[in-house]
Amino acid sequence: MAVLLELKEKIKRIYGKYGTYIVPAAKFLLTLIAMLMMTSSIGYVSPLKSPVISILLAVICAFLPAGFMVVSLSLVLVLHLYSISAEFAAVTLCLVIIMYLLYFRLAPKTGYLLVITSMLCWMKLPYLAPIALGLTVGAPAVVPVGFGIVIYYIIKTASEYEAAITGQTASNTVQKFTFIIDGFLNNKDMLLLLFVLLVTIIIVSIIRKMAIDNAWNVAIIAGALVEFVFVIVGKLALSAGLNIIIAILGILISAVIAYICEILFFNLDYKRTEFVQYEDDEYYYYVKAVPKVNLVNEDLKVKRINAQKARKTDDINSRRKADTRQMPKPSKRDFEDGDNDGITFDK
Amino acid sequence: MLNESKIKMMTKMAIYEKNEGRRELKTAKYFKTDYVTLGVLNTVIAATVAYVVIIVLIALCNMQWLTDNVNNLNYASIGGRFVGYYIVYLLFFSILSGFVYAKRYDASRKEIKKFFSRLNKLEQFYGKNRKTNTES
Repeated sequence: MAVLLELKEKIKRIYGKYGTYIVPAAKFLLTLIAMLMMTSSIGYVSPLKSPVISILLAVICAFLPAGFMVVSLSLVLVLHLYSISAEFAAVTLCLVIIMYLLYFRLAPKTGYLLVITSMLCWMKLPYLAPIALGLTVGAPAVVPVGFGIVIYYIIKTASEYEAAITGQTASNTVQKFTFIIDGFLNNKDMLLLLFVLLVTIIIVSIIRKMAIDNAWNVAIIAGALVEFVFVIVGKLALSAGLNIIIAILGILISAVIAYICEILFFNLDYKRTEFVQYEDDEYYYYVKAVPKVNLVNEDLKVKRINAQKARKTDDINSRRKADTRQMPKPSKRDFEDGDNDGITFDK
Repeated sequence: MLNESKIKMMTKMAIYEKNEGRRELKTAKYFKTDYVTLGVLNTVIAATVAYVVIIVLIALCNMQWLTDNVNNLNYASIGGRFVGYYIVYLLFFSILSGFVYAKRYDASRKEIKKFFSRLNKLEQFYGKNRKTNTES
């Protein structure tokens, strides 16, 4: 626990210092991995397959809002699908448009959850996310997570589509549509996964907000149990092809990750270094604002001063001054969020 | 002369303007009812387009059945049913977006208040400065 709290302070400090670089780097990696993932499973458009394009898109996405990343990735997805089958691309495009119009207009920042969910599914670890998301994001996370799962299964179906379509007698467009949609809607794996993840997120987010002791811990345990029970029951009832051992491992790791999330993100107030520019009548200002953070225990050096009682007061003062200059401590004013910035007028 | 507290204040304002302020300051020019109504209206338009897309998708799903029964369908009853669903669907999204936009508006108030109080202080500062300039 203490180690984790110390870690929280450390992360806070690192984020405060390098946040300007960490956020774009994370977006870059996310986009790059998503692009490579798509290329490896359904990369049928040769220009888009090139790693240069992937890197270029990742660089662009790194500096633009999360919404742009989701839009560009879905466009790439539709283009890849178009090369496999125009019908498949049309169905996917419809789904993507519905998703934007109904959901991402209202909550544009949660777009990256969709990408992360698809990626976790691809890594066969879909159970990692829901408890942590229920705790941190809450019930609204069900929509991007749901769409993430659907998008993953679209990619999966598409990668198996070419082989499947040759075995079938789906020659004309109408039959192709029926084949795609039947195959998609009757996918028991997908339905079970959707159901388990969505129910878990909702239950965790409800328990988290309850007025009970240790609500977060109770929510984590309840979430893990719900996931476990539904996976077993679902597997028996639907005889869906989910790997039970992977599922149980995933649920256990999910609970651990959620526990870490609780410590790292509860009472979250991450500030980061900001670079701003502005001007007044007399000057142009190029300001770098660095947040003040609490000190981590290990950085404190205890000095014994018992034997130095006779030391002069001004000597102690000068030492104190030197200390504060080295490591600024948060004053009461910092916690008041600077609402009371007074002005002194120069005459 | 550089004034430290003025710079601190201007920096905080600039940081706010750069981050949350970019979206939140847009709400400052509306009353709450106007902002929420505008949001709901936009959502109604978007939801209508989405509904058309959903119908297209449903039609694609049932294409085989549609082509088989194109001559003996009761178009009036199907149309009526779609209109009924549309009204329920629109009501749901209007209420949902009403909540979202009202919450967004309320959430932005606190920070906007802070921003404008800082702006007032800055204005006071300039007023005072001008006075001293004219006196001297």
